[in-house]
Amino acid sequence: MFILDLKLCTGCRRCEVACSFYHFKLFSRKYSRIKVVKIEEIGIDAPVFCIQCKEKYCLNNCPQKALYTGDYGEITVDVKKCNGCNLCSLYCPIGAIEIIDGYPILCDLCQGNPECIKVCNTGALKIDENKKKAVSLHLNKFIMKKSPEEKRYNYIKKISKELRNKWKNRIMKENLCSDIQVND
Amino acid sequence: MFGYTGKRLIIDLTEHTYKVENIEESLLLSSIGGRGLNSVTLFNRLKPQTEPLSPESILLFGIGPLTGTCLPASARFTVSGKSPLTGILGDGNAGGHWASELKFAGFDQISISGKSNKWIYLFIFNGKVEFRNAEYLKGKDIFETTTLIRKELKDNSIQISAIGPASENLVKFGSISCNLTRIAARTGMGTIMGSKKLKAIALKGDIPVKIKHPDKFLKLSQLLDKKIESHPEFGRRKKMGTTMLISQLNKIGILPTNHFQNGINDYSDKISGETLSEKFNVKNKACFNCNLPCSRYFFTGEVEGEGPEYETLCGFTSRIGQKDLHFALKMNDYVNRMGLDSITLTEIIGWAMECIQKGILSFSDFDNLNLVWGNKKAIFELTRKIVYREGVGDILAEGVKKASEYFGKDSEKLALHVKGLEIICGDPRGIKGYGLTYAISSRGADHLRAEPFFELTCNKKEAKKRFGYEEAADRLEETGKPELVNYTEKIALLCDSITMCKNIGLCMDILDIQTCAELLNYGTGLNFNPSKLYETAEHIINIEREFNLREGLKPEEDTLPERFIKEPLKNGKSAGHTVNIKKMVDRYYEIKGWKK
Repeated sequence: MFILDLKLCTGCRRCEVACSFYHFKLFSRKYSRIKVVKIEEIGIDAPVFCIQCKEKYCLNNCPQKALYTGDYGEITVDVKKCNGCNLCSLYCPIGAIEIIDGYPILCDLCQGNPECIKVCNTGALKIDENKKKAVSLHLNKFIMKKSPEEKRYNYIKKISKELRNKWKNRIMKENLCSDIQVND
Repeated sequence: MFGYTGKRLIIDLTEHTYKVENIEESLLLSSIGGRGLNSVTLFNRLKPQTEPLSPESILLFGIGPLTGTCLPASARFTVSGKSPLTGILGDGNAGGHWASELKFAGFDQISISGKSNKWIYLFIFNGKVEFRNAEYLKGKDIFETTTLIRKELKDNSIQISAIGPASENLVKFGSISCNLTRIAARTGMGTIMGSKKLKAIALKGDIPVKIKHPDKFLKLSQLLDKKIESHPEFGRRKKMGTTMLISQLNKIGILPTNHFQNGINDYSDKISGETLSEKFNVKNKACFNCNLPCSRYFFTGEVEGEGPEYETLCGFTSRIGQKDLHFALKMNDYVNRMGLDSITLTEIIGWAMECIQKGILSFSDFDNLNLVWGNKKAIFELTRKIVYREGVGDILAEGVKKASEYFGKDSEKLALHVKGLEIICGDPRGIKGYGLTYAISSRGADHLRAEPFFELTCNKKEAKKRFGYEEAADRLEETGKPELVNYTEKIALLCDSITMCKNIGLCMDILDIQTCAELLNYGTGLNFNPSKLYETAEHIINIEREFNLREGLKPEEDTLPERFIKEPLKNGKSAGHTVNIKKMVDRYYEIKGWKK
C-alpha cells in the first residue's frame, strides 16, 4: 500500500512512464496502472492508483468472480475467468481500473517493490510501512455514470481541498503581503 | 519505427482538410527532430519572401525522437515559422506535457498552413483530426480557453496549446502556451496561429512509444537521472528554477536595471528567487518525466500560478525599475493569460521609460501614461493597450524596432534588439560569450541558440582542453568565446532537436555528443554516429543561416545594439566593460567559413 503526499507531487508523470515500461516495455499512459491527474488551474497534481479500498467494489461486483486479492494485498485478475464486461471499471469510484485490450488493468504492486516509487524522487509516493487500515471510498449512481478520467479528476479535486486550505491559511497567518485579500 | 512515429500531419486550414505524410528516414537522420526537423522543413517548403501572416505561411510544431520516453527532461516542442516580428526564422520552445501527448497522438511534426474563415481549434486523437468550432473562445484568455475545451471534450487529461487575445489581435509577439503556463513565446509564433484563426490545438493519444533497445536505453536514462540528481545545482534549481539568476546576476553586475543603464541595483533581494521561494512558493511542478522539478507554484491569496521564470521576473522588476515582487507576479499572470512574450514586452516598456527619462519622447507620445521607472499603473495599462492594440498600443504591438523607427528622434538607438528581436535579461558587457550568441543567433537577440554557460564556470583547465583557450571560462574575456559558442551552439541545437531541456542538457553539462548519439541509437535503432552528429548539427545551423540570407538578412546585422559596444557599465563587478563584438563575430565567421 502507498502513501501519497499531495504537496510533493510535481505532476511529472514519471510514475506513469515507469509503470507502463515495467509491465509492457513501452511508454504509454493508456497502459499505465497509475495515472496522474493535473488540475492546472488550482495547482494540483496527483497520481490515481488502486488503493485497495475497504469496500473492494470491483471484486465484490464481478459477475465472473474473476478478481481476487493477491499475496501483497493487490487486486488480481484471473484472465481465464474474466470476460471483459467492464463492471469492475464502472464500480471503481476513483477510476483506478480500466479495460485495456479486453482485460482490466490496475495496480499490481509490482510484487511488493513498485516501480513508480523507485522513480518518484520527490517523496510524493511512498510505501506505507505502518500498513494503515484500508481507506473507505464512497460510491453512488452519479459517480458510476462518469468516465474513469472524470472519476479520477473528481477524486483528486476532492482530496486537494485540504492542501488548498493550508496554502490559504499560511498566507493569512504570516501576513506575507498586507495589501492582499484572500479570495475563496 | 522506434522512438519516432515517422509521421507528419499536414493541416490545411482554408479547406479544413488534413493528410498524413511519412517522414523519410534520410530526413530524420539529417535533421533529428524538433527544431532541426522544423528548420529543414521550413527551408524546403516555405516559398521565399512569404508574408508571415498570409495563408501561405507555414507553422510547424516538432517534437523529438525520444519525447514521451523515460529519458529525463526530453519532452519539449519547438514551434517554427517565418517570424512576423523579425521577418527571419522564428521559433519558440516549451516544455510541459503537450509535446509527449503529440507523440502519443501519433505524430513527430504538425505542419499548418492556410487560413480558416472562422475561429476553430484542432482536436487530434490517435492520428485523426477534428476541426472544431472556436467562435465561442474568441477573446478568451489562455486559461479560460484551456479549461473550456477540456470541459467541452469532457476530459481533463487532454493537452492543449492555445493562444490568447494578444495573438488574436495580431500583436507581433504573441505566444503559444500549453499547460496554461508553458510558453513558446519568442518571435511571435502565436501571432501566426492568430492570423490563421486557429485558437488552440488539443491532443489526446493512446499510441505507445516503442524503443529499439529498451534495456540499454533504460540503463542510460537512469544514468542521466543520477547525474541530474547528484548535480551540485540540483537543490538550487529545484528551489528557485531560473529565478535564482536575479541575485546571481546582480552579484556579477549584469542584472539589467532601468533598461540596461545599470547592471546592479540595491533592491534585488526584494525581488529575488530566494525571496519568491520563501514568501510565496507552495510546491514544485515538473515537465513530463523530468526528475528536476524546477518549476514552482506560487500562491499569494490574490494571485496564484506556475512560474515566473527569470526572464519574466526580471522583466517586470529591475529591467523597468519596478521593486514590488507581488506586482511582478500579477503581471506574470496577466501576460500568461493574454499570451505575449514577456521579454519583448518589457523591453518595449523599458525603452519607452528611458526615452521619457532622457527627454527624447514625452508622456504625450504614450497616451499620457505616467511612464516613469516602476510605475505600476502605467506598466499594466501600457501592457493592456498593447494586447488590444488600443491607442499607442497599436504601434508598440509591432515590437521595439518598428516602434522606435515610427517615433524616430534617435529613439532607435535605445531600442535594444538584434535583427528585430528584443534582447534578453543578461547584460552582454559582463558575459561576452552571451554577447556573441545574441549577435549571431538565427532568431535574433537570444541566449538559447548557444547558451555558453561554460564562461561562468571559471574552469580554466577544462576551457583550455575543450576550446583551446583558458579565457573561454572567463566571462569578461572575448578570447576563446567564438570557439566556445561554436561548440555550445551545436549542443543547444541537439538539445532542441532531441528535444531536451537546455537548462539540464547544456547549463548543467549533462548532454555531450557521445551520449546524444547513444541515446538516439538505442532509442530509434537508426545509425546516428557521434562524428556525423556534430556535422549534422553544423549542417542544420547552416540551413538556418541560408534561410535567413534568403529572406534578406545582411551579415552586418550580426552585431549588438550600440549601448553594449560603446557605453561601459558604471557599477558592479562588470564595471568598465563593453563588448568588442566585431572581433568575436569576425573570428566566429572564420570558424564557420561564412562570408562577410
